[in-house]
Amino acid sequence: MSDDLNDLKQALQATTPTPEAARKAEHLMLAEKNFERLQETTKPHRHTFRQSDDGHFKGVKKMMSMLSNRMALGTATALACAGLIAVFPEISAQFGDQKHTNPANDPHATVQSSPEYIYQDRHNNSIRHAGVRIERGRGRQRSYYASLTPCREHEKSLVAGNSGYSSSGAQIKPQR
Amino acid sequence: MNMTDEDLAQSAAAGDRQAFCNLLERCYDRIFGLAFRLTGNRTEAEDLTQDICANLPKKMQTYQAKARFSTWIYRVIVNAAHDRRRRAARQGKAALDWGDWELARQAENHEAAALTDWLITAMQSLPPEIRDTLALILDDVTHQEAGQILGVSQGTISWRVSQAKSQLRALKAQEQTL
Repeated sequence: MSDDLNDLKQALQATTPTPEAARKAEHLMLAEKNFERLQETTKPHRHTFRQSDDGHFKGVKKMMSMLSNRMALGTATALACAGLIAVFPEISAQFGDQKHTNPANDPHATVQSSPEYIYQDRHNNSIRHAGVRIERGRGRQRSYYASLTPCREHEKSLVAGNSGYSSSGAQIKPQR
Repeated sequence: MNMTDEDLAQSAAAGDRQAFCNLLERCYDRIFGLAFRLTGNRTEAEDLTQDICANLPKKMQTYQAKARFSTWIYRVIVNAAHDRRRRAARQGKAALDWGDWELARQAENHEAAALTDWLITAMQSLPPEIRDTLALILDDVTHQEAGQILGVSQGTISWRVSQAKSQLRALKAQEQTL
């Protein structure tokens, strides 16, 4: 170090005061207190997954094990239900709103025969199977199909060109 | 067993309270000394030291044993001093700095008063960045370490030291002519 800096260094050393004992103790206590507080409030780090090198399915199994049973069961059930409803639309008709599937129970339901679902042999004067379209009453917008096997009286009325039967307000309009 | 500063710092970073207390007690005077050399004011140095002590537990968590502990703690002190200056400037307050009346008042005799006057004049003649560099260099910090602490290259430190020398030489020449 050159003389110029030596002078400055000596001057600095001569003028630098020693810290007051009371202030020093106060500062050390403050630091210790903050250290303790920080240790108390510091939460453990969140566990993160290590990228698995054991193949794709190991990771999937790990992920599934992390899911709670209830969540997994709920998700699987919902998916299965959605799949069943998509594949078999009749199920929704039967289980969705059972009291309206029977026209006799819904005074506002209008039941119409659906052309594509009627297998009627007019020459043989018989109906083997009929599909009916039920339109709900009272402003409900949804409609769906249900497969019904009509009774003998119903067959006769349909073949005879009757306007259908109505036991409690519901109507069945036969296909012309 | 006498543990090094680095060992204590690592234990403190891992949450060892006793290690933290021992380390801080060991380096408190060094912190205060550099705080004084950076500010030139006892009250400011005490406040700065208090800031550092209050924030040190949190900063301690980031300590990595890549550098020497002294280098790390000097960086903490210098950054705290810069923050304090910035805060004072933002609040429109004149930061207490070298040349305040308090230091001159401390001089007890004529010789000490003359030395203090020269020191205040010398430090006032230097820009803050050169003053900060000198505060470290005069504490026996190498140019390389000073560069790491201040976040500049070693060449910049050497240039600042040479600037300080030439200004101090000019100051001496000016005094001799008077």
